[in-house]
Amino acid sequence: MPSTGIPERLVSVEEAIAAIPDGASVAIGGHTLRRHPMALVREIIRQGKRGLHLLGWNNGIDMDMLVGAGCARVVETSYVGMGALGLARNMRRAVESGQVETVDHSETTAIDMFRATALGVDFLPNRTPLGTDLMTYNDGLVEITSPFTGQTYAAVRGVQPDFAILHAHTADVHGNVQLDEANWYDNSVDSFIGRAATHVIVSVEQIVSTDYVRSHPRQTYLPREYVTAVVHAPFGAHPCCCDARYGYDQAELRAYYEASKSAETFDAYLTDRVRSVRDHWEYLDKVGVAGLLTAATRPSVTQGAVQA
Amino acid sequence: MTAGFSKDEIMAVATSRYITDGDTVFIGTGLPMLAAYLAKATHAPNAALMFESGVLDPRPRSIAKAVGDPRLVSTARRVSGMLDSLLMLHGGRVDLGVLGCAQVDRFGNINTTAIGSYQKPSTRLPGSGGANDIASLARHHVVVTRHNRRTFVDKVDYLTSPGHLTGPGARARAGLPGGGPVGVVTDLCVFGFDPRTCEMVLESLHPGVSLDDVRAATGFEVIEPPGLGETVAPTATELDILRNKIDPEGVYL
Repeated sequence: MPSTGIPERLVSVEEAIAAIPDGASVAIGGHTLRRHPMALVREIIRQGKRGLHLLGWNNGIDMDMLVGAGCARVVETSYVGMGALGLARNMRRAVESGQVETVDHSETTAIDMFRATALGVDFLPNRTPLGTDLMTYNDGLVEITSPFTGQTYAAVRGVQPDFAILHAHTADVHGNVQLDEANWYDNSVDSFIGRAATHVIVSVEQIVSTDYVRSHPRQTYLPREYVTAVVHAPFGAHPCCCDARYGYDQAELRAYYEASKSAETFDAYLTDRVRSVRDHWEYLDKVGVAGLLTAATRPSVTQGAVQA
Repeated sequence: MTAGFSKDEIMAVATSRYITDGDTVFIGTGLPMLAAYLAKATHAPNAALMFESGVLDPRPRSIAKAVGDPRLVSTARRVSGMLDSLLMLHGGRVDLGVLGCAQVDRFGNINTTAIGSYQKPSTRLPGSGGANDIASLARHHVVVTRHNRRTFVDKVDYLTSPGHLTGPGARARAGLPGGGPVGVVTDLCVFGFDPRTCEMVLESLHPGVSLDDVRAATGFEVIEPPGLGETVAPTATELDILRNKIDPEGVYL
């Protein structure tokens, strides 16, 4: 059957991100230093967005970079850190100086704020934050009582971010987004984030035909019903890892961490890696083929990925 | 410090002793992973390790490689995902978790969010991650940390992950299902928790460490309990396993 009549959603990085206004709420997929949509993040910085409310469930270089670039007003997640490298230093400076407001979650309340909306409800009950200061300072967590048992719960308010930005493996031009069979299953929460936001922008490693999608239907984790824009961005998670496609770019992550030690050195990093390159393709040229393929061919990627 | 083993080694060994054979244990990278694989190699061969990545009960051919990259685990009973590992916690199927901290108080309440005021902290830390979930939901958990006055405080500035909250019955009143912390392992000593008060109580001093050393490093009162003993030092077998089989590259130790 021909695909005529079904909208095509493939756009450039620039066009996708231009839709985000200052002050918007933007949810970001990925976990710690894994499969964040870094090409989209860098474009947000290039376009000079301000006053954003960032939401996620466990974040790292993605939120730290946006905070360091002055794009964020509020950061809402369970974690912002650079994993084994150390603290997220831009985030630290911004919060300690009062430039950025934080909204803190446990991992499950961070998941549930998206999952509630995905389920079409305005809250979900959860017990993890009870008795802690998560309840004290996060007004999206409110104590309630079960009407059936009297058990105390924290009601986790569902969020509906204006935008979600995600990175995945394949998509067709209509916006059926897929993950390879070989993936770490780390980012199952991406599918809740993609179902909670009003506008969903997904960058992918590879654009495939709709025939490919229909031949691999189990790989579709976000069908086009949810997707606003698709962007072709190979190595779009760089320097984060991307399941079996490529590992972490350790050298780039270390360089980032080093550069983040002061506002001045970080500004130089942003100029070099973000502002002085016109787009994602020039960024990839700058990182260089050797750097990209070193990450792509590290042993842990090819041996350790889960095969369905 | 007594010669023969390092601080990290005695902390790993002391932590491994909390793992009972047959337990399902939630494990993060670093020292908890060393402790867990040590327990499996010694007294708890049937303990099932659960990694936050969703790997359950791996039987790696090379522990050293598995420790180097926890994803290189084949022959796990299940590989599912991060959401599923949290579901195990929610379903009450995790017997023990191991947590670090930036601040901890006498009830084992942990702060990994903010030192100073929440809105404008003197130090903003990464936040809960999965720590709050583990502390709230695991049947029990152990805290493992270096011991100093910055860490062992009278009251945490922000309560990220629940210990025994304000004392006996407090967790149950708050609505929390898990049993809370059963021990605190430091580079100076091991604490248990007094069941009557839910406060940390000293269980053993590491070889070469005095009660004064512990008091100097603790921001709340440390009572000398009757029968205070010395932490059993790591055995030659345990050290051999740690140094030669689990972490031969010295990545963590």
